[in-house]
Amino acid sequence: MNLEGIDPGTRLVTVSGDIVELLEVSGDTARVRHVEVVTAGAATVNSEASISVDDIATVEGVRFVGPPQTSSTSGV
Amino acid sequence: MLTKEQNDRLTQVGPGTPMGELMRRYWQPIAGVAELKKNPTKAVRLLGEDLVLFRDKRGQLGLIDASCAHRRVNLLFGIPEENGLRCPYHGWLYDQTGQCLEMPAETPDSTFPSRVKLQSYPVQTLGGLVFAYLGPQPAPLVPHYYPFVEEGRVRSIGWTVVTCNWLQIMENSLDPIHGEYLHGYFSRYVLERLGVINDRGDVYGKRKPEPNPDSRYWRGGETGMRHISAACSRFEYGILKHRLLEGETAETSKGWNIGHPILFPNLECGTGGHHFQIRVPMDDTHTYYVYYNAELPEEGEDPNQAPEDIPVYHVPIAGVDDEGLPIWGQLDNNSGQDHFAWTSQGPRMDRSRERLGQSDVGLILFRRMLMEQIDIVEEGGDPMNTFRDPATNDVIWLPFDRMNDEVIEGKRATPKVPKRGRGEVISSGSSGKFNPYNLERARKLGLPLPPEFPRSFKTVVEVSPG
Repeated sequence: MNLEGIDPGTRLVTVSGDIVELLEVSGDTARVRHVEVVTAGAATVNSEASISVDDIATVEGVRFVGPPQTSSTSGV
Repeated sequence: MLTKEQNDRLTQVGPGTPMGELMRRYWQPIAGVAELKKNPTKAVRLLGEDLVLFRDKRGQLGLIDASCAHRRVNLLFGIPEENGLRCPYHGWLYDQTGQCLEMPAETPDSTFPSRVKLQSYPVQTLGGLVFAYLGPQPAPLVPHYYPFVEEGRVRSIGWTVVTCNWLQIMENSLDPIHGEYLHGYFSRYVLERLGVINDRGDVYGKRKPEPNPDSRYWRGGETGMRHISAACSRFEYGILKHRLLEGETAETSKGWNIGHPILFPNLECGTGGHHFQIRVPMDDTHTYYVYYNAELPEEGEDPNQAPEDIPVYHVPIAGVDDEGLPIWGQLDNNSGQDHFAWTSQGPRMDRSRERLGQSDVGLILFRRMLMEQIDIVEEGGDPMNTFRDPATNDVIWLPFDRMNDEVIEGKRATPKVPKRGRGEVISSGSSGKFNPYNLERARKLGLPLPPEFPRSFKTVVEVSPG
């Protein structure tokens, strides 16, 4: 997911379904803090990790919104 | 992407597994009532258990272990009696609770029968379907979703067995974008291969305003949707799938603002709002698939069907031929396209090897919901869509973007009778090609009937080397 313009502190949903809080973005890597963990991996609540921006699916909310504009309809 | 352990947690459905225990909290359809009228026994594989559904001579239904307690003969071959099912091998008789009543070869004063009982499960009928409940007592109510109970509808029930795990099928429903490619772009490719593209028109990139009335495929208005965006949101009964399509605006689009309901845990509302598709896990790698239709009657059709008169029809599953090549004639429709997509992911898809993108938010939300509801069951609670108060289960209406009728604040208002014309016969995906009502309507309209297909084919996974 393109994290450009998304503020630190925003809660995001990973492709695995975890909820994380964005700390900072550097290139294709996001530093995050785990808020809610549904994966059975090493992550625990409040642990920090660096993850690929590709592993973030959307901003947490009532509605999980996908791509704001697909390539299919962008005309590009 | 899921870990292997997570994938197992969401896909294994046998007794004692987390997902199996969640699924046991719901009434699951296992047959059409009409099937028992024709054949009084039916083999049922449900959540990893082999059972036999039977109707005795009094018309009572029972669901018991498939194997006789004596010598394990399959009771599918059993003989219906006044008060139960008799094993064909040595005559042991079982009632609806699985209690053995008679052992003809034992002494008349033997108390042995009282100590022999097969596993049994409660069944109920609704809307022409037989539902089974394999969970702990007290059982909840069978949900009265509107297609099952709405008056003035002609009902029909299609079924098939899909040779893959139930979750692959449900995740397809949570994935709006596949409609654009699988049912649009790929559909066009199939029609080109079949040499009938001019019959159906260009289905990708634009909606065809009028179906070709003489199309031998009955449907001319195939999905031509192109997505600007897709989203999913939770609602009272599950997830609403939202689409914003090319040519629409976020302010006025019904698809974006109302959405398309997926009922937790295994039911999708089909296009038009009066078609349900229910995906019942038989075991980890097989799914009993029900196409439930409740349509407004056309001239000459009687909506006052007795449950045992609601027709049940089989839908052939799309597959590959003996050389492992696609049978293109089965892939000109949504159902066939979905069938091959699900089964080609493997009998039980390995989600530790997938790569999800931003457009997969529906799958992510659904998996979160499944994990959350598994936790609720493990903590002793009732999961969502467990109905126990009859007052909330009179008729359950749902919001729906593509329903023909008006939807106001999530409730359906006055029904409008849809105008059907030539070429608009089919409304339940193309599985409707095999619906006896649709076949009769097509005959009346003079439309060519679909070709006969064998009952099932091998899947691409079954014929692949290694």
